[in-house]
Amino acid sequence: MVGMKEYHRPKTVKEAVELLKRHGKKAKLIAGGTDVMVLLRAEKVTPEHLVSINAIPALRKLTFTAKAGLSIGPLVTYSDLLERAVVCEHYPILAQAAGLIGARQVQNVGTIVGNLCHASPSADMGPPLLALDAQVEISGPAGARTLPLQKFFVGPNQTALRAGEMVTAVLVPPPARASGSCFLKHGLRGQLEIAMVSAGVSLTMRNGAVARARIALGAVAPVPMRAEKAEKLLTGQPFSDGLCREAAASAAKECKPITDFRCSAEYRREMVEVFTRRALQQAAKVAQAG
Amino acid sequence: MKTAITLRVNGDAYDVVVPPQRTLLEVLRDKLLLTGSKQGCDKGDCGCCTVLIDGEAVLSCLTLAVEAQERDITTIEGLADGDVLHPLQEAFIRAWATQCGFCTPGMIMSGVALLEKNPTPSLDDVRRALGSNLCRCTGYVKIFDAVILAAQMQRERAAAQP
Repeated sequence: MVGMKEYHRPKTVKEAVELLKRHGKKAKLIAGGTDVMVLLRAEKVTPEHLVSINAIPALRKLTFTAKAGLSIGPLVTYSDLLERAVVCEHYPILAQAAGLIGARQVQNVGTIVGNLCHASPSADMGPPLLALDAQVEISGPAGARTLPLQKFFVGPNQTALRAGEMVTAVLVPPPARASGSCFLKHGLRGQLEIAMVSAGVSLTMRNGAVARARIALGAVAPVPMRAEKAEKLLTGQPFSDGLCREAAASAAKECKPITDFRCSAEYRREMVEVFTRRALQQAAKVAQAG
Repeated sequence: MKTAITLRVNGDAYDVVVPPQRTLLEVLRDKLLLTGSKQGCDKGDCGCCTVLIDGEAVLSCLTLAVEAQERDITTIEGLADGDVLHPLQEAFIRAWATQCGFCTPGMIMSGVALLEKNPTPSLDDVRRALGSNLCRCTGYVKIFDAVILAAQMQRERAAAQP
């Protein structure tokens, strides 16, 4: 960690934003630190100013109301999600994903917002939050703005955050009636694993047909992505095995995987089909029961 | 620029002056001479440096010392009460759960965090709680046995109390 000059511990978002603005590219924000510390120690980032948001208690908030839905502050950890009954009840897909990240020690300090801001193509919280139509609330020198999560991911490790901006919450709409969701992660190990492929889907049924479908995929494109053609195939149709297979095949066509040391692009594409199909079947089962 | 901070470790307060980039693990080992927490991979993969912060298992190699101020830190040195070992330490001896010993402090801290939350863990709970702690000697079986045994010992100790 060469060249680090100063550690800042602002007490408010306003102070944090001012520090981020003043020091620009020389500043790095740290929350849980499970990604930032690895980058710092490998000297992949070499900030002169480290801005810790850990002394801003308001950012630890995790709130749910039936009208507004879920609001996840930037200091909310994976363990926080797992331990909150309201999340397990209304947003089981988020608990599924949080329980598959790293392992206990990482879940205890790593944050959901940090996972999104690190913007790895394989970020486990990407697909489930995309499937739930999450929005990202941002504060910056020019004030506050809100972006759909889909627009927040710009490229590998790149987000739409501008200089001096930080995320102040992730907002998830209230769960619809007769909806079901499912997140599946494909890796070689049960824990400490980075996804080869992941799929997060959410379905809402109305009068026996699919009223709303979301299929989001991880680790198969430069950013966590939606398979929108597959979603359109499902929408308005009665859910069936054949339709589910068709949608999964479409998702496999839509993704843009690469070959790397984890597996080949061809394998990823095959697995997108398999995991999309399985996730859709599980989500449909829950939605139809509701 | 160095920062003066107070670290609360195993119930004792330590005033230290550290540069911001110093990890909690480095300060525990090199400044406070609490060398029970081990430096393995130093990047969050092996779990050898696991300590408890406010009762939760965390990796001290991925925690900056400055971020650990105002929190309660417990290391392997803080588990025994004088000569009376923590049930999990005792269980590691009884179950022959240690070979080279390098992973042992991290394993025990992860196990202690589990037992605090779940006094009757299943084998699956134990495997999950120790999922981020690597052991290159034992093959894990005796380590898992030790945690299950410790849970049993804790229940017996509690039952024996008037």
